[in-house]
Amino acid sequence: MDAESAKYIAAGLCMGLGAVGPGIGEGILAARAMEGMARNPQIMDKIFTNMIVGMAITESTGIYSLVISLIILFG
Amino acid sequence: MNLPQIHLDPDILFTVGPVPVSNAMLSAFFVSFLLIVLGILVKTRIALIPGRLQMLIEIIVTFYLEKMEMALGSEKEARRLTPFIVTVALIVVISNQLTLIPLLGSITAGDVNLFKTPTAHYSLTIALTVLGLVSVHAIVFLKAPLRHLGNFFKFHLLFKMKSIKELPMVLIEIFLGLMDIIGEIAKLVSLSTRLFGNMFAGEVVVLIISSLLFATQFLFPIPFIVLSILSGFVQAFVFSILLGIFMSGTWNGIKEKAY
Repeated sequence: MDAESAKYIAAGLCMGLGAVGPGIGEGILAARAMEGMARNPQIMDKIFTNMIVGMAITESTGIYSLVISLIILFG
Repeated sequence: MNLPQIHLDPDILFTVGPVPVSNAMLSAFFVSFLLIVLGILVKTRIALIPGRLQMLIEIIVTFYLEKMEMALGSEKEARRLTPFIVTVALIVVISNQLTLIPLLGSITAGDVNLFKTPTAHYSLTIALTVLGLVSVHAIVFLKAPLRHLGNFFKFHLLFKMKSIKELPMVLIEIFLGLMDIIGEIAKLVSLSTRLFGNMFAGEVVVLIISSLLFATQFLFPIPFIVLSILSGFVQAFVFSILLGIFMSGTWNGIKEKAY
């Protein structure tokens, strides 16, 4: 296996494995936020804002792997 | 399949002395120019009965003021940090949507685009983050040096022990305090990387989709462009809110503990 194909495999593996965790985490977060909104619709706005912030934090590992695979591919 | 030429560093237009001026830097200057014009417009037309523009700015400022008040605890302190946070939010939201201005993306000098999304270049995001986090550390350090350092080096707990049985807990406290130093660096990296990664990925996805086939150049990139517009707004909001939360966390560190 030459270095070029190893690069592509590494980038694909990095992005694919890195997307598992954030996917699960954001799913749980969205589900719980929906439950909260359904139970108490008056504070929908507050829950939504906090959900967006929490999702951004959950997403960060996915973004790390994205940046690493971008660096592998184009850096 | 031939991938388009994508690289992380921006194209350099010309050099002023030792400083290379890239297209990302030029667009960042353009964004600051737009912001200054916006500020002058709002400031000169300020009135008791607000117009549309003043209304919009007031909504944004009030929203961030409320958030900072929740994080800091008092309105007086919130009024000192909010201007910086709102400025960062406006810079990021305008730079994320800069390439939406029609024809701006097709101005070229030679074969290099003159304008590019400034936040899709790592320098701007890390500059904003360093500006916020390091300046708040410096302010807090100047206000109460010993108390601020005591948040990280908790060796004074060794002298406060009442019996030797508390030693393991105190050692754990000291270790966690040292770990907080790494946490501060991680905050810096994660905050800047998040914004950069999102904006750069939006560009790359549109580029790759439109260069897959001849037919995919026309209608297929539209959903991805819409997605990247949405993520531009969301990331600007998240970036400013998280910067505010991190800064107020450091700011609150030197206050008297409630217990």
